[in-house]
Amino acid sequence: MRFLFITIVLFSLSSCFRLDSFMYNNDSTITEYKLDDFDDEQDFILDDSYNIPDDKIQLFTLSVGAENHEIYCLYIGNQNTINTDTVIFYNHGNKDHMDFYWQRAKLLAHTGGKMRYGVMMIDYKGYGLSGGQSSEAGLVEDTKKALSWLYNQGLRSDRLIMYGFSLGTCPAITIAGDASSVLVPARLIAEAPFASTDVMAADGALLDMPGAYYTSDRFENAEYIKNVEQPFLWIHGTADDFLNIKTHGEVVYKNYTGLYGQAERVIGAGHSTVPQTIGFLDYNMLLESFITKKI
Amino acid sequence: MNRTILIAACVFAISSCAPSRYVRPLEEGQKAITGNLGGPLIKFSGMTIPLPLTAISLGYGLKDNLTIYGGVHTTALSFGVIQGDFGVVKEFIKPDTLLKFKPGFSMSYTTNLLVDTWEKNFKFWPQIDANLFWNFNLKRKDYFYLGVSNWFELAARRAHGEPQLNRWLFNPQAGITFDQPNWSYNVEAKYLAPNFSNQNIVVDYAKPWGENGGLGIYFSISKKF
Repeated sequence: MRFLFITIVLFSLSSCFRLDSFMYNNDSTITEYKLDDFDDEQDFILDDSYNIPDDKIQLFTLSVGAENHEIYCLYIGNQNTINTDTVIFYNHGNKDHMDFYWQRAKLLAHTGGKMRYGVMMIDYKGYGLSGGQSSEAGLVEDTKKALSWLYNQGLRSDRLIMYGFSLGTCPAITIAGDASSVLVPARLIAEAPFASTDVMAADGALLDMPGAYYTSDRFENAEYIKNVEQPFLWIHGTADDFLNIKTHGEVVYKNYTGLYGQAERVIGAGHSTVPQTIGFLDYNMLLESFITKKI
Repeated sequence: MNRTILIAACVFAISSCAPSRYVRPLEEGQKAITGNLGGPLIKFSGMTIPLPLTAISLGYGLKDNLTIYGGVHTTALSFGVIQGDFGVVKEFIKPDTLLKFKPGFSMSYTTNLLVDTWEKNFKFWPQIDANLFWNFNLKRKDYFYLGVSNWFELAARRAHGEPQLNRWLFNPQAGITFDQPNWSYNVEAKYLAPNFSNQNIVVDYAKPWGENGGLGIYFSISKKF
């Protein structure tokens, strides 16, 4: 009887916990964005030749959702020429906030030459100074809001490139396959994408365990990529010790059935070291050649 | 992506979530309730810690050499996943009461069941354990044991229709049980899945033996009545 009682009590307490928040390693304790002055841990720091003039960096906010959470956005380039420029929209990964990814955004702004393309990045809800809580749906909602802003500035889909890194591949792939989005990218780049939380769970448990056992967020990139028709560049480090290239990246790439797929398996690169391993110049050349490739 | 996610991904590392239910069967008609705590060692926030997985089980001695048992995994339950197991253990060879070096031998079969309360995903895995055990304190029937726990993945495909990579997980194990008339205490260590690489996966298991497998540590306490 005692055992039955304990079981009933425990069952009544069940469903209390979900591990969704563990998907997001966000830092919302900052009081300002420091960009080049950010001196915490970063994947790499570019030299002065990659500096961006202050008048070409715009930090602003957008209001998202019914609760009007403010999200912070960063645009590198000339806002007045968005109606003619091509823009790379960078969906950052799950760590900290935009300061951590500032160097990556600057590097993208040197694709094809200094500020050949505009670059936009946002902090999703719950990241940096952006309000609200992070969620899978929120990543997509926030990205769509920023794309609406770009649309209102005159950007059109044929001049939009979406680049997702790690967690950021979720909104990038989802929107690239969503014809109803206000802007749909002309080309898609995914660096170190994960296949789904199902694969994360199976890799961790070594058995075929559904991701739903621990999180409501599914991040079904391996399924959403099937909706993508646009040219697709997949980049993944062969030594990625977090999102295994075989169980995550290869599955996403295999499921892509669109116009043109290009795979770049970067020998020896880890999860966060693709640009450094390729070399910054070659990395920019790789992106430029994909973006300008005639297909 | 940061590795804090690892704790999420391995909370239900089920093949390593509990020690052996019974190595030596209960006496005929005897009942026992057991609480377990422990799991695989992981690196978390700069420390190496065992995952604090918990389970409660009941056992009943059908015969002197045959015990049936069932358990519920309380950590999984708290996350909305109903994880249970039931099975039977049979002692095939009794340990020699005079020659301490001659071991007893038992085998058990367990069915492990999981269903989540969110999407009703149902999974089950059969498990077969085999153990040799030696009495080292005949007055109190204390014993230590060496054995292997085997889990079998029956699904031919994993997520997104990909071929199943892992069909058989075996976990060598060693433990010691201090057995008193009404209570018993157990500590067990498992070398988890030494036939699989522990590299390039989302979970940062502690790796005491290099690039394969992991180590699990478990504690149990039983009340017999």
